[in-house]
Amino acid sequence: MTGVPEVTETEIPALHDRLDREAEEGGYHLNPDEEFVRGLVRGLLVNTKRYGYMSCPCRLAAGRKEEDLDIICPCDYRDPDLEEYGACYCALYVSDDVLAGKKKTGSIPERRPPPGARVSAVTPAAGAAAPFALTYPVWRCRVCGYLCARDEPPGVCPVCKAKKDRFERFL
Amino acid sequence: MTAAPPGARVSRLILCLLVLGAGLALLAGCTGTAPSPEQGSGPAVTTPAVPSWVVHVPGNDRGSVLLVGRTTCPWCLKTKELLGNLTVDYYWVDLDTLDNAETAEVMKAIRVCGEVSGVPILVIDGEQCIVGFQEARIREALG
Repeated sequence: MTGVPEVTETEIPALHDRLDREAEEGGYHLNPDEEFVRGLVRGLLVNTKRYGYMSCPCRLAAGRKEEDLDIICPCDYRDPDLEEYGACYCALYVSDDVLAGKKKTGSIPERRPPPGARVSAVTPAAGAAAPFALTYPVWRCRVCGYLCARDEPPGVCPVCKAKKDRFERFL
Repeated sequence: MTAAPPGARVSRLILCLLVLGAGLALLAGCTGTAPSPEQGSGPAVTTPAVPSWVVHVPGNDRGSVLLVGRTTCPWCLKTKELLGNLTVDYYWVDLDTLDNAETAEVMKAIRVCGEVSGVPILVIDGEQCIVGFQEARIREALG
């Protein structure tokens, strides 16, 4: 057996406040169930200490970043899950309707493809052939779909705050 | 849901041990108390010891129930609470507390679920698999 990394009482509200602020800035919302979210944030902290990155608290992490990139919070599947179910897989994030109490949500089906069917997160996407010459390559945030044309992807997505390694070459 | 008759449970136990050949086979659908020779209701069966990293929560027999979770997931806690409210006898294990060999044993035990990547995973009688906190399905299966 292995131990569970300790999380202090001050770490949880600190991360919660950051995630809440970043979510609202990007047009997202944390689940209003504070006790539930506290558990998720604690899980994110444990995973950060264990793996070095915020792997989804409710998914089976490989413990190798290149294999877990798609489930680093916010995961690649958050936005389609918010659209279809009103919540992401672990329910850290919820839609406007859920936040407003117009829609209920619960445990939702897993959208993550099985290992053999996952798009490689290491190799940049092949990218569609551009119909014209591009001055700069176009990069796409795999989490929220933000596009930008520049030599390199940004260090942090300005919309969803995903890190640079979550971008793929789009064009 | 009614408990399987002793004969059937022993057969299931033996079958599962043959198939998986590991201690966790016990939890994947093969749990049950083998009848003692004194009771004269069947052959003596040596029940494999449950690994120390598996927690047994005593309750009412609703078949063999294995809950696989993670310490980081609140849905797993909700599932445990529900099983507690239903007074179900079950075993649970948190995958993120296991070493590689222990994890491999659990993954063998949940092969019936196919390729799963989320928790909680509930395996009932080694046949039925419920992934996620699906309260209605859990109540239907174990209530």
